[in-house]
Amino acid sequence: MANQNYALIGHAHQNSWTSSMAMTNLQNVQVFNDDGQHSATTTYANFPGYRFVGKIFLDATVSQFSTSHINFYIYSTSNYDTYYTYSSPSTQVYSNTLVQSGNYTGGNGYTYIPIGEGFYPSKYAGGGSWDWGSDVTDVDGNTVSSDSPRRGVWTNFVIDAYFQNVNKQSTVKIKTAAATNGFSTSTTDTSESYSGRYYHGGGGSNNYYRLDDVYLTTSYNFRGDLFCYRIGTGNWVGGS
Amino acid sequence: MATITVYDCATGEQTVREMTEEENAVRIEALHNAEEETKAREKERVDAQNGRQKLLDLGLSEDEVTALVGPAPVEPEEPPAV
Repeated sequence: MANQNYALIGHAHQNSWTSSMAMTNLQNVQVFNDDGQHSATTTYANFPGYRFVGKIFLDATVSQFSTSHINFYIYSTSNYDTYYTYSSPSTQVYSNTLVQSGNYTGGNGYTYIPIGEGFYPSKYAGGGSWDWGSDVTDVDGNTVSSDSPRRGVWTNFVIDAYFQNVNKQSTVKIKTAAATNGFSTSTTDTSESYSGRYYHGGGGSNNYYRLDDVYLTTSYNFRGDLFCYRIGTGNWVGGS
Repeated sequence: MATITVYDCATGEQTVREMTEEENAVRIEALHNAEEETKAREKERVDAQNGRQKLLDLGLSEDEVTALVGPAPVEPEEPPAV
């Protein structure tokens, strides 16, 4: 395996409904080097960053969905950061829109980042179905029913968290994207109206930083995957 | 109680369990705070829009108002109705 600076340290896969997903003990992982024998503790000196990658399917319809109901938490037993988040939802390319006005001072405990503005509900019919009108056949010849989750909307996201001193890079950076080919319940074609959302934001810096656990919580049921990578300064590979 | 899927990076084990009271309280508090922040941002947007309109009513042009107070606030885009 070629050297690389991103080491996968965790993959949570949830295929039944849950309302929250967490990754814990982020500080207690060892990463192995190329020969597979020597290990490096994931100190901030060697691994100053985290990358969380995920995709989720929300059990919510458009009419049920509220953007304020999806949050990403950081739990710290030392200090977490003070940050603001800025976002550019919808089609606005440049944004100085302050999305989160909260100001979180350092200390033990939880902090959170609302990220729902970049998420999409996975269903679009008010009755709890995302019925596309009729069955279709996929490229492998399988019948995909009109209400199959395969035809719902998934939101993808990347959240980076960096250890930084003051006046350097923002501590947390967030990118999300979700798109659908249409919201009509009556057609199965691919040329109807489409819609999507994205979000990018982040901010903050702190002299003190410790990131122990992270949580993705919502008011809805959801399922999906969450990966965690440590971002290394050297050629560390693999994970324990 | 809400459920939570927990992946322990130290052991590689994944469990699904009910949230603890503390976890659920934090979750609910954050939801509440996020809702309040959403309302506050909407109020700021409406205030900015109203202030802008008052300047326009005084006879200033759109360009003049923009030069004074910046571009008009963007209304958040709602998902299409179904």
